[in-house]
Formats: sequence, structure tokens, C-alpha cells
Amino acid sequence: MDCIFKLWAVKYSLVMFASLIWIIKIAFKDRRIRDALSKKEIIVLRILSLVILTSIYLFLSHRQHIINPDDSTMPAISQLAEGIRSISRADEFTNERWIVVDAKATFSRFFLGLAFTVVLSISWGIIIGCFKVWKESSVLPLVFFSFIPPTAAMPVFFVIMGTDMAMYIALIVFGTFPVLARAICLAVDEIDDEFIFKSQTLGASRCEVIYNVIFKQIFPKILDSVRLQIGIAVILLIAAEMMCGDAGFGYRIRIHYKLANMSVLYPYCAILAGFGFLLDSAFRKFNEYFCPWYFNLPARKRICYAGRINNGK
Amino acid sequence: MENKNIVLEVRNVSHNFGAKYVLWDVNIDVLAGEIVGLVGPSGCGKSTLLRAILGTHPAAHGVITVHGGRSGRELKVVSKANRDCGIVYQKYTLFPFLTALENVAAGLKFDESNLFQRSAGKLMKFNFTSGKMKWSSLRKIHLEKAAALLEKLRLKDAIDKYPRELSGGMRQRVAIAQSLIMKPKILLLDEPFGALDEATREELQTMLLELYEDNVNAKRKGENPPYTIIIVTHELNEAILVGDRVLGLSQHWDSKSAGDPRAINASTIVYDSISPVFLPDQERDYSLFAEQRKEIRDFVFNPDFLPKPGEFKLRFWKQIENREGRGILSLGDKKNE
Ligand SMILES: Nc1ncnc2c1ncn2[C@@H]1O[C@H](COP(=O)(O)OP(=O)(O)O)[C@@H](O)[C@H]1O
Ligand SMILES: [Mg+2]
Repeated sequence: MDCIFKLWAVKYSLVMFASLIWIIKIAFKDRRIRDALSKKEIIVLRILSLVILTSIYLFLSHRQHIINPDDSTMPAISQLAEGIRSISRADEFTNERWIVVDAKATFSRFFLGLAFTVVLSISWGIIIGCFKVWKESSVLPLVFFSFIPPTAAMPVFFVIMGTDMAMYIALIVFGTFPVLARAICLAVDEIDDEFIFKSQTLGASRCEVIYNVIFKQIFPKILDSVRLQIGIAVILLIAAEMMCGDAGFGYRIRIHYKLANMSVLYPYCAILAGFGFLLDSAFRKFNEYFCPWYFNLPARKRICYAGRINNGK
Repeated sequence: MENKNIVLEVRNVSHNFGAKYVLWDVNIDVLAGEIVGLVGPSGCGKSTLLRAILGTHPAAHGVITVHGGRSGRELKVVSKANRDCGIVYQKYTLFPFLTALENVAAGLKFDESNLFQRSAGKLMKFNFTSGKMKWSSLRKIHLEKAAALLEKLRLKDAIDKYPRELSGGMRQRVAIAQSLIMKPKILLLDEPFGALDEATREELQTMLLELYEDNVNAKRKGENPPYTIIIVTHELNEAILVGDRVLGLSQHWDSKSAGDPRAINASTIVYDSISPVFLPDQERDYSLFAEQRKEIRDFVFNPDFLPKPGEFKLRFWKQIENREGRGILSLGDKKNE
């Protein structure tokens, strides 16, 4: 058995090596630096990468099951299907589906936390960007807190805030607010004074300068910063759920990890990855739609007046 | 100085950064409808003077008044930026997140409505703006006005483009439109065409001369000329060409004779004279330029020639009295009236 495996492995690695050379040759030969690809090539390459990833997994899982048919660390498709069935089946005792319970718990915590941190950090970031009195009187605590790893401070939150919703929100805010507020403050600092003088000569009041000039100008940067913080917020949330949750993805993952039940764990990871990916693309699309100028895109037709004026006269 | 046509009065303005005085005892009066070219060696304090007039960085000493401004009283002492002065910088002029049309309409928006009215109008459809008008209908009027101005400045193609999509020359045009729509008492241009190529520069100079033509026509009809402009430039030809008056600000004068240690190496107005101005359709007589250019070089830019305060070439008001002015200045403007 061992011998066969090794022989196979040798053959396999030879094939792998040859195809690797082949791929490298295709990927680099006659390619100009930063050469653009056609839409078709892009789609093919992206699908190909997913196919390769899946086949590698299936192959490894297959190898594992040849060694041990009951292996659960690399579940086969049938096992995965069973796992998915078990999380989406109504529970015998509570008559609820795990996946629904967990998704509700985790996503409500996540979105509430994100909403809090976004509102707080935008307001505070703009305030400290515009009024240096507030910046100087809060910058040191802010920097101090931003360097405490939130995971290390987690027990403090459990002790002070208990283990319900408020704690999760506070944890997400604690983990992302200092960085977000500072990023927004930096974006405000980057705006040249001339813009502010200019808008004053156009009759803008102080509130109008803050909203119509500063906020509008940094809005896409705010979205980008929030986008970067999504990952951190998810990490903190899952970690906290693993430590003290009674529902939620983190809680479920902990339970099944203890049972080495990977057929449940992998779907959960996939859901989280898909969620992060979707949210990220949603942010990007939202940004492109509302701030085409930031992406060097032309203005949307909605505010196009040239046609109307031509027709009108 | 009793003259109802004076829009800007700069009186004994000096300015220092720490111990170093940059401006010393600057005095300027600008008549309505003039285009004044302000020249001087680089670093002499031209931008500093403009910032003081604009009000973003008030001068340390002296008084600057803008007459007939709409904000507040008839006589307005400049202490902070306000809507009486417009400004166009060399860079950073337009809001990058607004299209050309919205950029031009921005002034009207800020001027005729406020944030509360706009958000209330958007959220609840209330008629809150002054004149009991819906924000959306007022906005439509603003956009029409802005579009008309853009069309006048030959910017129809730029209307719904973002500043990034425009060429440098078009951007400066839009920026000038953005300031002009406020009908400022005085428009300040700080090296507005400094980054443009020669051909584009000429186009924009012609545009300014077209505005000047409007002034002349208005004055002929006995109306108030609509545009008063100060343009800072390092191109002598430009200053002479687009303006009817050239002001020279320079640190090259005998500052020791001022009798004040603070005046040393500070700039003051050493040259003030009318200059030839030709309307866009008039033949330009460039021989007049050469003579004045040489004079300005000697008086303003030559570091070895240090005139005493009595020897400055400040002959503008004398020329006005003698009716030597050109363009709008030739149309019956007496100093004491
Ligand atoms: N904020 C400042 N602090 C100190 N010195 C300044 C400041 N701004 C300008 N200056 C000095 O004032 C002088 C005039 O500057 P500026 O008005 O920009 O000149 P110009 O526009 O004529 O080239 C320069 O010597 C410059 O170094
Ligand atoms: Mg300057």
C-alpha cells in the first residue's frame, strides 16, 4: 500500500511539475507588462482557478478516504452534503434550523455593530479633522486604544458588558472605531485649504463647508476604509462568539470543531467567505454608483443637462 | 477719496510672517469695471496680498474695504472670506465630485438656500427656500442659469463632465464661471493660466477681454460694469494685454529710506499705470507693449535699481485725471465725482 502510494506520488508530482512549467510558459511568454486581457479571457481564467481549487480539494479528500474511509477532516462530497443537510434541517428539540438561528444571531450582531462604528467614526473623524481642538484632546487615547489588540481586551468586555448584544456591538466598535476615525481624519486633512476658501467665497456656511464640501469629497474614501474594516469586524465577532456565544457561527464552529466535524465547519466557513465577498462587492458597486468621479467614470445620465438644454432652445 | 466708482480700497496694508515683513504700506484703489494686472518678482508677496484682499488671511496692519458688497453693510471691511470676492487659483479650483454644471451652480446653491432647506426639501418636499419655492424647482433655475453662463463662455461640451475629464484650459474657464456666477464685487485671479500652454493661454486671455467688452458696453449704457478683476501673473505681456492697468509690487526699492526697520526688504507698490487694452475685435498694437514692458522691467523687476518712495511711477490717477485712460477708463470717469 505504502509502496503504491509512493509510486503514484512520484508519477503525480512529475505530471504536476510538467504542467506547472507549461502554465508558467503560457502565462509569461510574449506578455507585455500590464497587458490588458479580454473579458472572455478574464472569465475563463477565473472559472479555471475555481475548478483547479475544487479538484485539488477533491483529490486530497479522495486520498484521505482511501487511507481511512471514515475520515472527517477532509469530507467527501457525500459527507459535505450530509453536513449541509444537518445544519439546514429543523432541530428535533427546538424545531429550528441551525443555519437560520446562527445567521440571525451573527448577522444582526455584525450589522448593528457595523452601523454603530460607521456612524460614530464618521462623525468623530470629521469633527477631529475639522476642529483641531477636538483632535488634539483625543488623539493620544485614540492611538492608545487602536494599538490594544481587541482580542486581548475581550475578557474585559465579557466582564463589564455581559454576553448579550451590547457586548458584541461594543467589541466591534472598540476594534474598528479608532482606525476608522483616524483614517477619516486623515482624509479630511488631505483636502486643500483652497477648497474651503473657495467655498466660502461662494457663500457656503460652516455647516455647508463640512457637509457639501468636505463630507462629499471624502465619502468614497470613507466607504473604502469601512470596506477594509469589515474583515476585522467579522474576525472579532466570530472570536467573541467562539468564547461566549450561545448561538451564531462562531458558537457552532466551536461545537463542531470539538467533534472534529469538518463537514459542518466547511459550509460555515464557505458561508462566511461568501458573505464577506458579497458585502465587499456591494460596497464597491455602491461606491461606483454614487461616486463615479472617484473611479474616473463619467457622470451618470441622471444629472446630464446638456441634452435638455439643447432641445429646450 | 470720494469716488462712488471705487470697489476696492487697500489702505496702508503691511503684512508680516513672524519678524519678516513681506508687504509694506500697500495702497490700492480699484475702479469698477477695471481689469488690473498685478506683477512682481516671484516671492514678492502677490499671493499674500490677494489672500488679504480675499480675507482668508487678513493683513496684519491696515484696512481693506470692498464697497457696495452684498454681505452686511454698504462698506465692508474685509476680515474673512465672503461672497463679495471671488477667487480662482492656479490649481485646486473645482470640486472634483461635481460636474462642470454643478460646480458652477454651487455658488447659487450656497447663496440662495441653506443646508436645512435643502435636506428638508429633499426628505419632505417642503417649500422652505427663500421665496417659498420648492428646492427642486429652485435647483432647476440654478442649473439653467449655470448652463447659460457655461454656454456664454463656450463650455457647452463640458457641461456634464467631471473636472478630471476636462483639459486644463477648460477647467480654468469653468472655475472662472463658477466665481462669476456669484457676481462678485471683485474677482481675484492668482496666476490662473500659469500651468497652461501658450495657445490655451491666449484663448483664456481673449475670454477675459470679452468680459471686459461687456464692461465697456455696460458703461456706455450708463450701467454698472459687471466685472472687476485683479489678475496676478508673471507674464508681463499678459498683464499689459488683458488689463487696462498694471500694478507693480516689488521689494526692489530703497526700503532704508522709509525710516522704519520693518520695511526693509518688504514689498510695496512701485508701479501703477494705465496700459493699452484692446477689445477682442480690435487690432492689437504691440509696439505699445514693448515700451511699457521695458519700463516695468526696470522699475519692478530690476534688483539693482532701487527707487526712493518719491520716485515710484505711480501715475495712474494722474492719467485718469488727464483722461488718458483706455477702454472703460476713457468713458468719463472723473476721480472726484
Ligand atoms: N505662511 C507663511 N509663513 C511664512 N512665510 C510665508 C508664508 N507664506 C508666504 N510666505 C513668504 O512670503 C513671501 C511672499 O510669498 P507669496 O505671496 O506667495 O509670493 P508670490 O505670490 O508673489 O510669489 C515669500 O517670501 C514667502 O516665503
Ligand atoms: Mg503666488
